[in-house]
Amino acid sequence: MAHFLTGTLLGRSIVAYVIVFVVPLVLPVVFIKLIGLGGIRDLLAYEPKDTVLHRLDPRLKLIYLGVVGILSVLLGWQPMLILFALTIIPWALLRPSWQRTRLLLIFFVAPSVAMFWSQGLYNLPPNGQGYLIHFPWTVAWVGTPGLAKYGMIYGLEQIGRVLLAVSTSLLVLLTTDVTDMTWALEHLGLPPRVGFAFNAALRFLPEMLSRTTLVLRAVELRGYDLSRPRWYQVGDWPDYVRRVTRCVPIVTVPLLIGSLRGTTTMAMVADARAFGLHKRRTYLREHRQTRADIAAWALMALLLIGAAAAVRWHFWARPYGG
Amino acid sequence: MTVQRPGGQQFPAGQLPAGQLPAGQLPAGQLPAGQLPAGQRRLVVTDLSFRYAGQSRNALSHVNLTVAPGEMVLVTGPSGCGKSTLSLVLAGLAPSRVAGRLAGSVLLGEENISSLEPAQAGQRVGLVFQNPNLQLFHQMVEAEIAFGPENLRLPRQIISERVDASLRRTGATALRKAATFTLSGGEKQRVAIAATLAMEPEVLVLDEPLSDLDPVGAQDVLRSLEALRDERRLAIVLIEHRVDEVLEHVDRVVLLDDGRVVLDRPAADAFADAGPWLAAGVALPEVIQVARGLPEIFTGALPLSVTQAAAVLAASPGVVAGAARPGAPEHSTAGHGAAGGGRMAAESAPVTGDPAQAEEPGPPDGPALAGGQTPGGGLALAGGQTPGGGLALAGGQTPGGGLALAGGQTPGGERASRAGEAAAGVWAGVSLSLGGRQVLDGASLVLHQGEWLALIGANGSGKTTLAGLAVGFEAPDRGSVEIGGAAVRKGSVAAQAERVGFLLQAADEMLFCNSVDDELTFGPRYRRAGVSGAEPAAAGRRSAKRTRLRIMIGSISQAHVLKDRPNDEIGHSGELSQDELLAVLGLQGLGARSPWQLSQGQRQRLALGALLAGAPDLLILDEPTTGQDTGHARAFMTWLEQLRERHGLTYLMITHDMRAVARYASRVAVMAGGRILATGTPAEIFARTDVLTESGIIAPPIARLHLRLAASAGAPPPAAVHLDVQSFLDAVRPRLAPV
Repeated sequence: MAHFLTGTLLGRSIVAYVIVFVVPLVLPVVFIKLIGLGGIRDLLAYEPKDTVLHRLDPRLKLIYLGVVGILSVLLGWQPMLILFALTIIPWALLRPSWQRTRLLLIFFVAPSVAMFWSQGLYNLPPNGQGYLIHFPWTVAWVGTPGLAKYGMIYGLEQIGRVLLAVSTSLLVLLTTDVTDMTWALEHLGLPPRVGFAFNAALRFLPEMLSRTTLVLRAVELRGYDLSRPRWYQVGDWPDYVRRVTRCVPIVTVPLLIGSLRGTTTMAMVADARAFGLHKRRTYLREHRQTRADIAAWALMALLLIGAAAAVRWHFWARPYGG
Repeated sequence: MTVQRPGGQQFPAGQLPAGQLPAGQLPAGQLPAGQLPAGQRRLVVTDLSFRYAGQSRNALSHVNLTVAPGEMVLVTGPSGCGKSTLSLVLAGLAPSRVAGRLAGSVLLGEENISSLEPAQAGQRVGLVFQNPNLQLFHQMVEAEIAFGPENLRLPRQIISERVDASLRRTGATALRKAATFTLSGGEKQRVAIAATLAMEPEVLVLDEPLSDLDPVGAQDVLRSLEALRDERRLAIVLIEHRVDEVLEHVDRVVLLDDGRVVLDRPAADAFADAGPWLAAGVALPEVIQVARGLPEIFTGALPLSVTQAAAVLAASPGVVAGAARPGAPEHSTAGHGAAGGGRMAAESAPVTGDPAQAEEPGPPDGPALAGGQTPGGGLALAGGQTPGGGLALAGGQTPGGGLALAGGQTPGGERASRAGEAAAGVWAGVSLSLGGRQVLDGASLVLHQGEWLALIGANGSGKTTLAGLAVGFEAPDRGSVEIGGAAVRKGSVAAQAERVGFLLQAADEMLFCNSVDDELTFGPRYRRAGVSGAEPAAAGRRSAKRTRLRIMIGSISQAHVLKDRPNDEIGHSGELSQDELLAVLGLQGLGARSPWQLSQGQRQRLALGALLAGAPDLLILDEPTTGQDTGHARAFMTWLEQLRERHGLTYLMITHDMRAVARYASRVAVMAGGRILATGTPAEIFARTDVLTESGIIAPPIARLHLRLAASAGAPPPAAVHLDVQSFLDAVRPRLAPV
């Protein structure tokens, strides 16, 4: 078998097609199956707990988010990976539920594998060397000669940058009530409307996802077939794609109109509750600096100093263009 | 200037809205001579008219209304009469936020609400909308209620006080630290009310706040409103269709029709003249119908509640003795509960009817109505006949009007399930867990061919989930589901739609087209185009069914369906034109209109009409009467009943409307905690107080009245109860003590 797969043209072609098509196509299926719309809604939901992270100053958390986002771009990949490892520590403090943890792992792993794999296929080494697998001529039409270690390493680096930003964002969302975020945004100098818009988006994104599921069900209840063919029913897939494509404008109408109507009511309710009456608002909850906040500010200051030094003196400079 | 609050705290006057300042401390010029202080001002609407931008007709015309502090006023009327428009105008949101032309005035004391900005108007007149989900912006309850006071820049301490007070006044203190997405519908509505109250308005307007609530949740909200009226002297305007449930809680009743005030009376006098109610298509509350049917007993004010009616009736010895008689009711026709295809023997109660009372079968076709309709749209039935084919009771009429069938046949030759014939639906020991929550827990249910099964239970009991298994929304973790003898596969929703029509509770989500006409043709268009590989036989079967549906629709009188008037004629047969179908749905002349320009009730009828165009065998109706006024709801349900009885359709109805259950269902299944607690005819189930209590259900008024009378006589609870006014009156009248 090993000889067949590695020594014959047919075997090598099969392996190549699996690498090029099956692995990338399985990932979105896994993502949709294991997470889906409901999972995204649960993933972004605030997790009401009483941990040190929950009690931190929300301004600190928002600034931390911005800082990490910038550093994920500026830093070389070694310090960036070190920073990513450090950002795992707050997750250990948060101790998310197993269901949330499972969602997080799938949310991180699936796109990561996709990026890693695609870079390995299409980010080709300049010297034409360093391939893990060379594809035979039967696969040449896909536009890549093989799976390259060069691209995979690059993919790992980019994965790290993306995961760093995404992980930090999710951590802030899970540990910060939207009201606190609104408070923080206003105390960072932004007008209350920005905070309210942010608040409304986070509050109603899960509602929108739920409504999308409902509307898709309604379409099927009206007889519009959205059932997926089996993977081996190759002939049915073009028709399925056509049906799904035609369904998009159909469901857009109730989704948009329902959202607009709902938005109209929301706007009236906000008006009735005097939103926008004054340029500034008062808040039921105020945040006073605690020792934990001071320690966190100090850590962030150290992080910034270290990052500035790394960038200034090119510690572990980025291998691709600096 | 500073203001001193009770307790000695001082705040700058600018941080408190005018409504918060004691009258004696209002800045000079803000309290005209003779003006009442805030909290004692009347809401006075004078000659109010409102027309939406782009419309040719007024939504409100010359409305006059006064609401005093400490008064709760019910505003009701048919769909589209202007109730919601009135709420927007009272709250100062129209025309400031809803484009239109306003004439007349809305004054709170001397203050013109319409001239205020919404933020200012909101501190005088608070508005609670129908859908609580659109009123809750925050993830946590405490933050939600604090939102308004925070916008007013009130000091933290006052914000905290207001949050405390609002939660206490709505009985929601326990929800303070809860996340809003974890709340039930009733809890969300109470939080929405609390959030509105935190603005400390003097007037509270609620636009159909009970529409999505189960009966127990609705009573919770009503009790909260009563407390606000009595303790805070809040003026409350309650806009509702559910008159039976709210009547005993309100002081005055206003009937709107076509944008005009038709009636404005104290609650006790509001139903003395039934004419305006009939003309508006709004059914009289059942206790009122009972009182009007027994003028010799109800010589004083009309009762507003079951308790009041029972107290009056209990004072009449003959009535009480009759209620204590075993086996009552004898002539319980349960509206139409005994007629129709596929009625099965009661599953949970012995047959106790008197064979001597058996009636001859009625004619097989057409409604067999002896006698006219009662005021309010009820049916006057002589001799136990029901609409849609009458009764053939061969030894063994069950008390609730169900039938013990000999040979499995219903009277009038209609279809019935026979031994060996596949049931319409079978849920066998289904369990399902969603999101870590056990939604269904070993639920078993059989739906027989041609029956109308009502599935009732509190919010969150699993009703919609159980019904959704029939179309393949989910697959049970354990157990099985069969529809028409075939197992249901998860995800085969479009295929199941060939035989099962499912009307979602949110009917708006089922409308996809730009016009009413297009909606009615959506199914046939996209079913042919969307389903790949459809077999010719299946296509032929669908075509035959559609033709059959067109024929049966054509045989129903349009006038009867539209306004619940006597059905004077059997209409034409043959295919129905699109315009005629629209008329049957009550949407005549609206074919070219966008569905989004229709009222909610109209959209609901359109959604169901679109499903029926596919001629399904089984219809699942999820809250079909929600948001509809009683007139349209009854006409709609009666139309469905006639379709079912003539052509053997099977209905599974999920509802909180116990009156609809009593009137139309042939069988009831009660759910709680993901399980089926009991099944039986409506008359039997509504007699089971233990089951109703466990499931959080409140029986319809006549049933409760019957039970009260039996209890007051010291008799054991009856095995079955009266469900409709006429059967109750028929049972009581012969036993009235002679004067």
